[in-house]
Amino acid sequence: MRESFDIVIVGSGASGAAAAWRLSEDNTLRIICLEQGGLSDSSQYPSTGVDWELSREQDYSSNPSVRRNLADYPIDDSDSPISIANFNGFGGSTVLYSAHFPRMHPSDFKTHSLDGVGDDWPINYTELRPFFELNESMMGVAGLVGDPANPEYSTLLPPVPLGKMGRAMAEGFNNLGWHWWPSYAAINTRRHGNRGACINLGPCNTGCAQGAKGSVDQTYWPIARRQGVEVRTQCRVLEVTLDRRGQAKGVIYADASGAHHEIHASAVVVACSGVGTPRLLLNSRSPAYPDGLGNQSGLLGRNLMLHPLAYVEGVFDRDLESSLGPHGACILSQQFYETSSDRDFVRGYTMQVLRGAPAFETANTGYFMRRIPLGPDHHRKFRQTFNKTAGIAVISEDLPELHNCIELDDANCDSSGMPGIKVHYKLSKNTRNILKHGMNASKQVFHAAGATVTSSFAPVKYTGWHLMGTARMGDDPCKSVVNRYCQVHRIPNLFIVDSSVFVTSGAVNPVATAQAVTLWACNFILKNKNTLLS
Amino acid sequence: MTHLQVIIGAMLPGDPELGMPCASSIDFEAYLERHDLVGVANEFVRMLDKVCGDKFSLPFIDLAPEQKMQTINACKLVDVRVFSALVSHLLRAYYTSPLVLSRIGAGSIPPFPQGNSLPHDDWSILEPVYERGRVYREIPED
Repeated sequence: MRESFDIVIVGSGASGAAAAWRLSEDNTLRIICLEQGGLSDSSQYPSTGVDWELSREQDYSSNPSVRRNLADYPIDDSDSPISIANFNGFGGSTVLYSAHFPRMHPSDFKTHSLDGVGDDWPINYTELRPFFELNESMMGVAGLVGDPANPEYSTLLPPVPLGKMGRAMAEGFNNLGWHWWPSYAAINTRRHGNRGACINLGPCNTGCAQGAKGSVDQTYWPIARRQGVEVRTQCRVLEVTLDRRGQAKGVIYADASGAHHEIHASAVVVACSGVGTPRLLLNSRSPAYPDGLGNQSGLLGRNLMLHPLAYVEGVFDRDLESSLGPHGACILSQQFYETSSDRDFVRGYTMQVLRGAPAFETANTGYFMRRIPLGPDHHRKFRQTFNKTAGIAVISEDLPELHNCIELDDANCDSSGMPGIKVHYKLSKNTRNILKHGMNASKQVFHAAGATVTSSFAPVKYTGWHLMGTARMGDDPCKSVVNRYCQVHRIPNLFIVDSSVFVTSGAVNPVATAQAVTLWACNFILKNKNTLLS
Repeated sequence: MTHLQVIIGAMLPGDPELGMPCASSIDFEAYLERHDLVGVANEFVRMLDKVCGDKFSLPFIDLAPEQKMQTINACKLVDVRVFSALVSHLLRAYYTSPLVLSRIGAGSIPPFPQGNSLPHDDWSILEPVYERGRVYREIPED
């Protein structure tokens, strides 16, 4: 059966949802979204059960190799020190993210001009600013205006609570004279957008049963669906098709039964993540595009950026109830975000203070790190650790490098027979120097806060959430995959609107910027719909 | 008390002073059955019994507390995979038990729907950060 729509959106995650909402504000457009995963039931999220720490290691793991859902596709990341993390389901990875929502900085769009590394984006912070603001109002972002490390925000929801631990860490930063600020988090700290307020369940990254976390199944999608967008879940797009003129014609997808269907559309909007998007386009081969659709430059799948992470943990000598509160969101520091000539690296990093580990994680890690033994001393040692720890995650800016890439893995296919991917990724010297500096700085913070450092390491393996750069944006078709409006070069009715288009990575979680770019691109589509969607 | 309960009771004994229950009082067998792990436990018990016999020529239950811990720790050297699996599952079962969680300050059990409250913040703690002024680079836009 063949159907026709004005726009088909591939992927229902952060960017696909934002696109669906913005484009469906024009009620003349017939829009469909195809999502390879299924719906999640928030009444079944781990935090509704006593044993939530077990569920997050199983069905709600961020590791597709652990979940092994039918919607997941094989990812061979054996040639990478960092494993890919994601969630393939309605709402995409926002279902499991920690909801960090900082914006990229103005300098992030100009790394070549400023520091001689990477490339400049063809768009800048000022152009994106109204889309950052629109997106934040839709997603519900907590924080505090007045942050000296960022251009002024006009409005934010009240910040997430510091808790006793956050306050202790803040005092550490103050003792050093370093920047810190309450986290920017897509968490409703009061009722907003028809969603309830956060009640500090804790494990945001297993799905929010309260609905206070800004996952797009809770924010954009209810409105987009009311505005008429049709969503089909468990429908995996296998290929973007072309017409005789070489323009996008639509997609072919496989439904849950394995049956193939074709949809025709005037425009195709791809939003499958920094690995899913190049996978789909590399798999969309034709005589006109034998190396994959939109891959004339040879850059599709290349310049993969993952934000390598360092982690430092410290323990205080008093009970700070540190395991309570939104686990990922507390405070951040951008003291070392911008380039400084007195360091042995360019660009920089964000330090994010994380809540203390929950009970099982404390005991298990403590045992295997030889800090909490079995036997009669177990409980005393456990008490010396639990609710007294904090973590600092160092998010390093990852610069684009051609050899960091994904490619199709024809030997390992998903449940629809579509090739999985292989990831090839190496840390650069610049990144290693950033991580080293970040770990040393984090240790200083713990010492200044009166805590003892118990572990520090980098890179952290299972943290490859931030998937960027594999379909980069640029004005020159020889050096980029899409133009400034996210149109694939030579195929003006094919758009890529997720973090694949990032030219550089910044040193912040990418969702806020990815969605702002999506809204920017959709604005262009709507303004030019008469020519684009004819 | 079953043989397995004696073993896990030695691994995680109770601590009356801290109000912590012994692992033998949580239903570890039910956990093992629920997660299809009875085989893992049996493998561990067989290994432990052999180590116990080789080392002390006594049944595990008859050992002194220090000898029990020596036996348990010696198992790690025999088969670290089996040992680590059993320890992890025991800690999982123990620290997801409502009885245990209620004694350690783990917050609401389960977290939803009650949630947890955190103290109100005094944001004057940010004054020094604010007073130091801008730390991001302003960029002339093109």
